[in-house]
Amino acid sequence: MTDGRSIGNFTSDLRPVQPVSSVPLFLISGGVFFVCAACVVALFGLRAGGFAHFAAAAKPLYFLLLALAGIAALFSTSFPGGRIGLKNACFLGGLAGVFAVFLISIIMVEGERSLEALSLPSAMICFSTIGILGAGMLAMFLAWLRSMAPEDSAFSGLLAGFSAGCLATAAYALHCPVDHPVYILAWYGGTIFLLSMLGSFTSAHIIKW
Amino acid sequence: MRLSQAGDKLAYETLLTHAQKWLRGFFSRRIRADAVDDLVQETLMTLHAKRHTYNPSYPFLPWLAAIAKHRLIDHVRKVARLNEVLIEEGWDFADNTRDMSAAHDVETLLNRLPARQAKIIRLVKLDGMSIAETAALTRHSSASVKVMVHRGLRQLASIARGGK
Repeated sequence: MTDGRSIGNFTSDLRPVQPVSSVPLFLISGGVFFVCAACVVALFGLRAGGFAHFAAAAKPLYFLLLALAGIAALFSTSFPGGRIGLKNACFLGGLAGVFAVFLISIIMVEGERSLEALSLPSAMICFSTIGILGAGMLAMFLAWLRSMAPEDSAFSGLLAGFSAGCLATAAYALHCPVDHPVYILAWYGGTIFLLSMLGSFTSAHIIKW
Repeated sequence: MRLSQAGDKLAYETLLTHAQKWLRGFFSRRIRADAVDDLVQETLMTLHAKRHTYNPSYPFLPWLAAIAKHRLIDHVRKVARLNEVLIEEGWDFADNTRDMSAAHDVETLLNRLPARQAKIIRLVKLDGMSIAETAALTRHSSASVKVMVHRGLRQLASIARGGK
């Protein structure tokens, strides 16, 4: 029976707590992104030509925006009753739509030739660098999620993997000189997809509350 | 809830009293009456442990309802698992080696809990006594017995997983 005495136990155990806020999550993510970006630049260097080329700045920015939207969605689903906001969902959809337009127009122009971009020699370096950086960020997001109470831990884990993958890709895109949409879809998108699956699977097992 | 997050005990007590009433109604429409008290207790525990996840810019009731739903799903899964074990086939009843080994494991784990808590768990979970009988025997309130059993089992699970 949950009587007054047990309520009294909870009350006597009450300590002030800081209500949940997205600011620390964004600050930590920003800090980790800068560390990863610094590592990428130190290890591989900035892409040739710096930011003179449109894609050199647009590509990291695109993935950074995806990551920010992903982190906002992750935060929204990390507490009971939380839902992804309509604006955030539209923003994510819009970003995906922009990429889809680029991809379709390139495929229409180049036809089968566009598939040649898949076998570029730098693919494995992209895949492994994004994978390693993303796995580290995913671990950080999952550690944060454990202190929260996501209603659907698998979905929150998926968002954690997606955000981690996008942040890692944004950092790596500072170096990567390949801008072909088919290549980006296959190697960047593929790695982000794998990290999302890993996040979903892992969080379903480790996040219990 | 905002006041409770700031540490206002009176506001928290009022909140829990109202939440308890609401939770009773919520669970009694969905599960058997004898499980309602346990679920209310567990939900209040979760509310207490996860109170920092309440976002003051959102309404309180959907937050509480989401926690209650989560606990309800957990409960339904647990009951389903228990039923599966009960109807499990192929169990060799003549061979009690497994039972003896399990009993030894349980005793070893219980010895690592404080004596008072271990005694209560033995009475409720091993000897099959009701909460009320155990409360009368050990001179504790029913609520305290439930809390001790709940916390003790959680601690046992943690020890079994190699936590402490």
